[in-house]
Amino acid sequence: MTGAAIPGLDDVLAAERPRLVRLCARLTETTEAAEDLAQETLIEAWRNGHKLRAPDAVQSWLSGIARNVCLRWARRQGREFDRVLVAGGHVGTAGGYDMTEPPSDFDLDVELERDELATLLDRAMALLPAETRAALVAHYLEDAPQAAVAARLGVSEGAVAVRLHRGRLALRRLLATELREHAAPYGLVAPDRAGWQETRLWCPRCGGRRLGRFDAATGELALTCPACFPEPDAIPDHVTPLETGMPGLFRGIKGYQAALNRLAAWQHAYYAPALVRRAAPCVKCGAQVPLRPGLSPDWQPPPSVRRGAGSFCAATAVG
Amino acid sequence: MTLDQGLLGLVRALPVGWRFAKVHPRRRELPEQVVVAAGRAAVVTSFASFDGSARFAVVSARDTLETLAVHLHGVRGE
Repeated sequence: MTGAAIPGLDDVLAAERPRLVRLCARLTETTEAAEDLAQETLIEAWRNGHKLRAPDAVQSWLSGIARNVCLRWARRQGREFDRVLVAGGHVGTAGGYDMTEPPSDFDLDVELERDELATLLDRAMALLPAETRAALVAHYLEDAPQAAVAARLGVSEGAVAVRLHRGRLALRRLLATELREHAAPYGLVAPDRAGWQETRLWCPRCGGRRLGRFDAATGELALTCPACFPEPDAIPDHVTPLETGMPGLFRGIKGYQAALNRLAAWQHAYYAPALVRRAAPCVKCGAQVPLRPGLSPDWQPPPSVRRGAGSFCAATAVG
Repeated sequence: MTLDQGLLGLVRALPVGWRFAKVHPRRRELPEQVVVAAGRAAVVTSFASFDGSARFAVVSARDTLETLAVHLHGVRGE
């Protein structure tokens, strides 16, 4: 059976084509291949149309196929990069990579995240009773006051308040059960007693799933692996606004992957020029302070940087 | 207050490291190796995809952490 057996799928796929071309262009950073990759996505979707269990989630489903198609494309391209890119201390453009500038899609995950969150919300809303959904859409998405919602739906304000309350509870329940796997990476599933949430990130030591604590409002991000770091206080990756001097570093971000990308962009922008100048701006006052790269015989790095050969760099803030 | 940043984090934050992570979200950190490169003491920081088919390594000067070389071995295809 193919997608042709799904009523209306052909029309949906045709309508989705422009969006998929844009998505593929952003994912691959090339407009030349985007048309072909979008076409490959549509063909794959049509062949596998019978696997689409939730027709209202077609956009998310297609985005997932497009990401896989682009990933396979990137891996094929990767064969061309099987060589030394930089040598002799010169850092520049090589093998198609610019080594010095952050890629333009550092924040692409933020954009994708918003798209995925909107799709997730659409899926959750579609599972609610029609009258509950209508009240939630009118009040929370269209910003209509409860009185206006009541007038529009022909019910009392009290009934609207009840529907909104029940709708919020139902959404929370859906995100914690039926849609848990999709909601967890965005911090929409309640954390455990210690505050840790599931993530879609893999541990680089054991290959298991990592747990995370993330608060975009305070600028704090922590990642751990329960298998590699069973002690509650051992948190291998932890960043706070005190370290970045940027409490707004994660503004607008919901998910862990996008937060990690934003952090990597900050680390690169902060440390790459600092290593050249041997000085870094104080994260509190901006004054240039010495950077101490490499190993120092009297320096004991904290546990988070004790792995491997122990190479590290440090900047003393003076604020 | 002192900020500290491990070499591993610096390498992960390189644009090329970030791209490798994007293509290979499930990857393994390999033990750092101390080597001599171009007559200088150097550290090799490397990651490999979990199926072992792709590898990414950065050679950094041990005294300055300057990037001396980046090796990418992407052998996995369809």
